[in-house]
Amino acid sequence: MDEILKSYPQRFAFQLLRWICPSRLFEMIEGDLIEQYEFDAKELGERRARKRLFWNAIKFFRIGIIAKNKIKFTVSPATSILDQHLNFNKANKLVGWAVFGIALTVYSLTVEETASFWDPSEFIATSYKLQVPHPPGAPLFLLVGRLFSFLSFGDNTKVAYAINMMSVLASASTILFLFWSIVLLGRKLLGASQFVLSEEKKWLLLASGIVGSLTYAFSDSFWFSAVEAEVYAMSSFSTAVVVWCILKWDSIEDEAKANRFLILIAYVVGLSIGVHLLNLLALPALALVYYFKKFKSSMLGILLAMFSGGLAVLFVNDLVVLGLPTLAGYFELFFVNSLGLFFGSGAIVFALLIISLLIYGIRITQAKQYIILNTLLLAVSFVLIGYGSYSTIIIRSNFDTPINENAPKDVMSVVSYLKREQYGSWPLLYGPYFTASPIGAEYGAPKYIKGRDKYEIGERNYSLEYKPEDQTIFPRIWNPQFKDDYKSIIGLRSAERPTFTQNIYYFLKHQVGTMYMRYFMWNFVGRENDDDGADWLRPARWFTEMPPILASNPARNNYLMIPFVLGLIGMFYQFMKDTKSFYVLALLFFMLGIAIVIYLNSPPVEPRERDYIYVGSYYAFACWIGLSLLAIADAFQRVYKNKKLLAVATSLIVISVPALMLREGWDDHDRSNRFFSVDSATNTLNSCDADGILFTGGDNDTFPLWYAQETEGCHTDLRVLVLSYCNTDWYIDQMTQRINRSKPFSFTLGAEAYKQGGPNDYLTYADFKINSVDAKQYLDLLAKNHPQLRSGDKNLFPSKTMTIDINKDAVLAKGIIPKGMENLVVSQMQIKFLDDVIEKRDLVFLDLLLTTDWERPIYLNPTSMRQMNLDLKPYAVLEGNVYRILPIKNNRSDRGYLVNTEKSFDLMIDKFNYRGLDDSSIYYTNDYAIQVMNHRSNLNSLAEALLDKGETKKASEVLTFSLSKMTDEAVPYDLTAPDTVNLLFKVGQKQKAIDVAKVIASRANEVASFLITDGDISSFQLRKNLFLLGEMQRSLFENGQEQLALNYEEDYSNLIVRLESLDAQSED
Amino acid sequence: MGKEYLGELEELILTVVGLLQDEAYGNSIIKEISEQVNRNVSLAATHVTLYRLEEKGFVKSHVGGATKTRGGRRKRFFTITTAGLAVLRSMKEDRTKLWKLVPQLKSN
Repeated sequence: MDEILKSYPQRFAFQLLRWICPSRLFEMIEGDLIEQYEFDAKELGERRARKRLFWNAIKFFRIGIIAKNKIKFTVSPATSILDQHLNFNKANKLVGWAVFGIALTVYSLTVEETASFWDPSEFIATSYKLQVPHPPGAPLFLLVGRLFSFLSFGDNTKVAYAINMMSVLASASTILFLFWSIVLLGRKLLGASQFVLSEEKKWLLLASGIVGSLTYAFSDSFWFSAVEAEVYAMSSFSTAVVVWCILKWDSIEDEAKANRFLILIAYVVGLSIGVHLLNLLALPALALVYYFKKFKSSMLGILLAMFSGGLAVLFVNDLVVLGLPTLAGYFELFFVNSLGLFFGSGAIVFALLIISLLIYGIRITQAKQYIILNTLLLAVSFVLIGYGSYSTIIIRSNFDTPINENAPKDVMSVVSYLKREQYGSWPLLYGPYFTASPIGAEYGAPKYIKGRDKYEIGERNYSLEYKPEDQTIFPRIWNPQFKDDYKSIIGLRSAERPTFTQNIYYFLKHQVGTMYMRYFMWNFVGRENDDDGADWLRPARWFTEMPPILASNPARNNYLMIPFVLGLIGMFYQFMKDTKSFYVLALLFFMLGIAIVIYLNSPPVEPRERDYIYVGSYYAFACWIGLSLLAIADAFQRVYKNKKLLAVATSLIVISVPALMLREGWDDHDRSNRFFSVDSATNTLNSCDADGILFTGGDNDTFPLWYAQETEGCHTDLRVLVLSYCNTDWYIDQMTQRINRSKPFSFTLGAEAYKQGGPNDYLTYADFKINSVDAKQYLDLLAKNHPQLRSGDKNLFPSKTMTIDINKDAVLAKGIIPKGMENLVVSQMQIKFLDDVIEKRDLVFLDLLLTTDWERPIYLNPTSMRQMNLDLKPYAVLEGNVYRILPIKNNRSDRGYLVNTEKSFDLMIDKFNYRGLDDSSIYYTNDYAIQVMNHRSNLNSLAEALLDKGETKKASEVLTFSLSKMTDEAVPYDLTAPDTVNLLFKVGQKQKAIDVAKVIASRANEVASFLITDGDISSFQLRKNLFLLGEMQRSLFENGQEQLALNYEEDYSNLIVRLESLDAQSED
Repeated sequence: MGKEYLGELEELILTVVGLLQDEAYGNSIIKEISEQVNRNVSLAATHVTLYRLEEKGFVKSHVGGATKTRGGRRKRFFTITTAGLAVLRSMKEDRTKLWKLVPQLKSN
């Protein structure tokens, strides 16, 4: 009989039938069809029977069958209730996907189209070529990012967009899981067994899911990370999946099925290690859910469960993530150094050992039916499988990728990479106050580094020791680098010692208050603006009249506190109705919020706002916002019996709260059409000549350059060197290799001299009574380990001036001297040391300057120029955005730098990109304003140098260009404006100068006046605006505009009088 | 439960399930309908109607043992529930009531 089903087209019809038909029904339907066929064959003959069989099968393609799919077909008296439940599940899925769709659309419309500032530029560059980013790496993120980069279909300017879309997708999926999690929590709260749900409860559950998830979707910090290629979007996604899994596990009765969810959680946790370790902090909350389901709860039990959750975090973080590689390191050391086997042998044996132990353990526990132990071992195995993504870091590092931070090529260096050793350590439970002076150092175990045929001892880790009375438990004010900032926060006078109360005050005021609560309020109450350190929007200031430039700040977001209040209501309601789940959410809220604050022990000054770290705790809060709807409905029902009214009220909340957040947040989260992060990077790269070296300072002046080189292939013959990395041996080693099209460099000093822990990590000045020393001779002596230059195990420098002899004719013959500067060529460069200590990087710079011998151009950007311990300013020539070091000397003390006018004009006017800087609809943050300020300043310098040369017309052209390309409307005039006004007067554009001056001065007066009224007298904003007003007044006066100058002088003195009286008041 | 209504095909099939007692499954139902009222109903329509009746709680089903015919496939047998009988009865009563109200045609 079955042959008939194998023949075409019946086979096709039955395959389709099997596909659309619920599996429970298929066999009986198939049976009926076959029976009919057998009957027809007898009655009508084989041929017609076959035909009828085909059509009879085809007729099953109807809604009544397809809609039955995946729906349980049970014979139960409660079928109609069951049916309701099924409908709810369908609605739950459908609404979830709708919420996902909304989030996806909003994120797609606001996504960054190119590489954003900060880490995304680095992550895009390292994803695109699978390179090695800063420790501790994010290998899974890079692998998935690489996949997304394929969507650029060969257009490398679209790679950044494609990888940003990965975050968009991850974030929208986070919202999907948040929706489902809120519904699960709501269900638990209502105590509704899955079969009994009245119509309005169904609606309420879905509505609470919508409010909670969409409020979170449009909250400040989460939206920020959703539209750029940072690890936080994907990390949030894995947290969301883990939280949903545990809620799901909780709601499943069948133990075998439920345990699968535990193993899935282990796998997701393992995978997420390859994105960001944040996810581990959700584990204690999971432990609590486990406890509540499996045990009768008691206070002691709850505490024990939390404690074991904490142990789980330590287990994964310390024993798996760090412990296993460290153990592998011991094996490696034994096998290579003691047994004389090949590199990697110890690690291989160790890996095999672990794998065999796991396999053996899983098999034996299975045979003996140890269910818990078996699940545990499986979970560990899956954590390890997920964690396995880290192998790509080692594999790629060994290919010597262009970006290869810390070069984690072997077991030893990988451990240091994972431990983030480059960032140093900080005290948590016990340690010194910032006022303590060390009384000694304790050296730890030696660090091994890969030698020729065995591991050699490198530097030793050490920790400083302090007197017990200078130390405290829970040290919060510990870092001597920030002593002045600590003092001003805790109100300590200079000679006093801080007390424990002040220590705790700092913890609460700064670490919890400024570095956590302020961000929390940004997300659920509102935000003042996008200035550094911007406050949350306090209710008293909701309707304050302020100057237009402040009032129109796109980041001024007012949520009228509604999400915050809803969250509190939900929190309270859940506590009353479903205390156990409340504990779970509260623990999640704490672990991903305050616990991180405690761990980071943050100093008073950070390079940027850190709100994005805490999105996990806002996630928990968003669940409460969702649940608040159930509370409101409950309250309503007690007062009014009218269900329609209830539906209307909840619908209003459902629509209005997320809509308000969307409306407020759109203008400061919409990143469309913004390209200057990359334009400023390519402008900088293009300022350099072929085969050069460009020193940079790191972060925002470096990552976009990496992006432009590695992803868009811009100027890959140029070697971009991060100055601070030049203190490390692995970076110096990479300089001796070819990278992309940049040829290798050679050094006077060998690898031994530059080794970490070697004699040149830092060098101190010893007064040898020598006026100056020849740099080449000095380096030669260092290379020979000259004993006179050694003090202990570190080298010295004998004079604070280094000289380099210049062969004038040879230099001129190379054609590297800008036209008109030939007479400035010196026969000897004299480079002064600015400090009594220089670092390895200064030595590296001198070494490169000598060995390149003017064959390859050397550049510095403004940041690296500032960071150098050498005074290179007199020999620096501004070319576009960079300073080229040349053997010519700037003799004018009233000019900061020499300017290569011809080259700069060609670069800045004809070649540079300034996309969108004249478009006021684009949102520019402070990070952009800084880059714009650099460009404005460089154009001012160019105009000034042209004026010096008597080329007034060209200078005027430069100023007009600057004002028209970078407009006040798009990026408001900044601290470079006084120079611009002054120069405008000098080139004869008097009216334009007055116009600009008026705009700046009246705005500065308005803002400063407002800030003084506001009592904000120590802010950078106030100082900046006072400076601008004062400078403008001076410039107008000097350029013959006495009347206008007098007006502004009056404004200025009024402000000062008000400021002084405020100051006097505060001292009283 | 509010008053339930049945479609014409639903009523027909429910009645046939009732009369076939323990022997009602897809093929036997269409065969019975064809024999009793000379009407061809497709297997697909019969199945869909049966599932709908089951959701409404008027029939219940169980799976029979393996068979030697029909390629060894098992049958899904349907039996009428009390609720099913009740609804048939109430529909019949309604009809009868209505029928009585229609002025009867008289033959000349």
